[in-house]
Amino acid sequence: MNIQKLHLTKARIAGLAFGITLAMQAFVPFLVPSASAGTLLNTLVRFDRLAQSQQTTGTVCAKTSAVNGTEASVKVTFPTGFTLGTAANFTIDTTNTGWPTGATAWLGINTATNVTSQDVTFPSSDLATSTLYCFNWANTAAVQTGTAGSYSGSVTTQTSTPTAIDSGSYAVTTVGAGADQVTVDATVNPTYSMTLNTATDHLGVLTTGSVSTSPSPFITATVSTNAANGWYLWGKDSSHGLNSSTASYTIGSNCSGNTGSNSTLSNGAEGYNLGAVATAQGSGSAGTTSIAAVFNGSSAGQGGGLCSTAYQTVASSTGTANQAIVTMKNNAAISGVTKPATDYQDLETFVGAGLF
Amino acid sequence: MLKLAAGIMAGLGPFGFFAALPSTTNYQLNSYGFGSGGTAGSSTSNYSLEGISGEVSSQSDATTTYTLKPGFIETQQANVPTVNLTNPSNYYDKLHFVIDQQNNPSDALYALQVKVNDVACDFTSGTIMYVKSDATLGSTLATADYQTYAAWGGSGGTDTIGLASSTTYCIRAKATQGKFTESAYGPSSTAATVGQQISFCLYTNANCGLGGHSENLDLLAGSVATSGSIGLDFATNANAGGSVYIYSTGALTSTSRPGTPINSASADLGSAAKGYGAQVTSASSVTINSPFDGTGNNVGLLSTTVQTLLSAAAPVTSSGNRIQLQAKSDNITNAASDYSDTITIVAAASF
Repeated sequence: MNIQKLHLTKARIAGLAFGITLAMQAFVPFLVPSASAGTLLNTLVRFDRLAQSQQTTGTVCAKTSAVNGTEASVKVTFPTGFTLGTAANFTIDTTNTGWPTGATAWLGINTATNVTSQDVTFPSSDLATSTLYCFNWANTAAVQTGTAGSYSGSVTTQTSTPTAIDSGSYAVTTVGAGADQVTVDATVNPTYSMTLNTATDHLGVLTTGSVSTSPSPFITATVSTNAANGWYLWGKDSSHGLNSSTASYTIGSNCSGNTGSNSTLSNGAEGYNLGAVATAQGSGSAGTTSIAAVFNGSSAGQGGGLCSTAYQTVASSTGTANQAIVTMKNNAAISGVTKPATDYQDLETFVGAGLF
Repeated sequence: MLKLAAGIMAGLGPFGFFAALPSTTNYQLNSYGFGSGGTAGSSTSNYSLEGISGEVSSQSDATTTYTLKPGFIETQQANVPTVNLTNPSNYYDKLHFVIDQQNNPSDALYALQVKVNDVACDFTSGTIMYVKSDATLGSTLATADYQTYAAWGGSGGTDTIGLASSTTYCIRAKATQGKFTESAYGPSSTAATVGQQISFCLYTNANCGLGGHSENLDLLAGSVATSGSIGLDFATNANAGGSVYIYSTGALTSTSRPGTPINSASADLGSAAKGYGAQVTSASSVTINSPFDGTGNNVGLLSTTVQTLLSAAAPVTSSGNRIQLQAKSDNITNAASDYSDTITIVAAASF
């Protein structure tokens, strides 16, 4: 091997130094750290309660820099003045709860492994560059906000060493007790409506050979109410029966002692009653409509007598009603001695109310 | 225009000319002198030489007002630029600077020196930083960090980024236009970043100062009830803006008559039999997020999951935003006077 001995003169030394200086300039771009590395492009920490001294869940989001390292953990520094739980309290989830547009679930995030002072360390997988990641801490026992005021904290991604890779800071403001909430009070006003489908009921010509009954669609009472405890339908009539003023005669109803009784009319036996059935409970109704035993009209000619002196319960329900329908029929029968007349009539009155 | 300076060398003697400057159609000698010989700005691909024989050479000397740089040909020197540093809009991690070229030509390059947290702006001691070509600060000044006036934003200037919050910065600039032309640094300009800021105020009275945190709804089956307006003020200087979020228990529920809660849903309450939700009725400088951007009786679901109500993609000051609640009960919603819900509204910023 031939080694040429260098003869260093002052001129050569100066020239060498100059050359080295020039050569070094070529490396300057590599010696200067990239400006973007080391700073998270975005840092967001959302506390789900901003009221003072409030236990809260929250969300951490960070956008990695364009030149990041190999992440193994993320350290979230909570504001001084906030009280932190144990590492085990910092359970996490990755449900998108109003995350910023473009955010994805933080890779490899899991329950915190360490809480030291205000620093909480969570495990992380290696993250892609220039990517926005988020996760939520899901247990309110993890963080309690401080007194009302302005605070700041930071988020730092770390290597396994751990050495900081990217870091960013955030600010949060807390407000007075309850000042992050609106209490909404509402009143649902009571309602009750009952409509009858007709104001007249023509029984036609009564004969001894049959029991006359109200023509279809009969008499219907449609009830709607938001009374949680149900509703009632009452009825009474004007004459204790069908009365003819010209004949001065009444085909009496079986309003016995103002309580009435249930019976079934038969051909040739004079009588008059009102029979009812619950034909619709109504969509969504919480209550079940039932017919008072006296006015059970489930069979032809069956019913009870309305009284003129007091209301009797025709039907009732145990809860709300959404267009519950009670269908009622008047039944009348005459005997051979029933006085003829064309003006037999009765005036029935029905009322209802909700039990709120 | 190409600025030329030339020395007329040996052979002409120590006489000066005061006649018109020599020129051709394209070039003009703005300055020339007589010496014993030498060269100015001669260069090869690797080396350059500024050598005028017979001229004075010594160390620089300076007073407070003047600086002497013997050995330099002053007419070759770029004019000393000035720079103005400002914080125009509550910047917390950047400041804005505009270079004044001081009549330097457009191909002049400028370098910017920065001093951090030094009220006296003393660039002779302490840590000196430089504005790098990517507008961040660095501890070294590389050739690439010399940028043209246009590259530094021209008359509009540009922002130097990656700064610390609540910190004072001094900046000064120097110019160069080719070899042996670098000027001295000009006067410094000072500005400070502010802290990261976010503010938030929720109220049901007329304004934030009057507070209030309750609303009432008076419902009659089949009719839409509306609340008073909930006011919301929000501001942040975060570069990426921020958002206002909303969540609730998800329903109006009654303790005394618990069977028929009025569940929240995104719906047109005008046609829906029953429902409950929120609608932003006015917003300032922020985007109203779906489903809270409806009109009339179109309301958005109030969920137990946090949802974005308002958002801004840049620093924002947004006050007087208004939110309205609407609810509707049907025939079978139990009558009661103790229906309630608790709505929580929070804000966060993306710094």
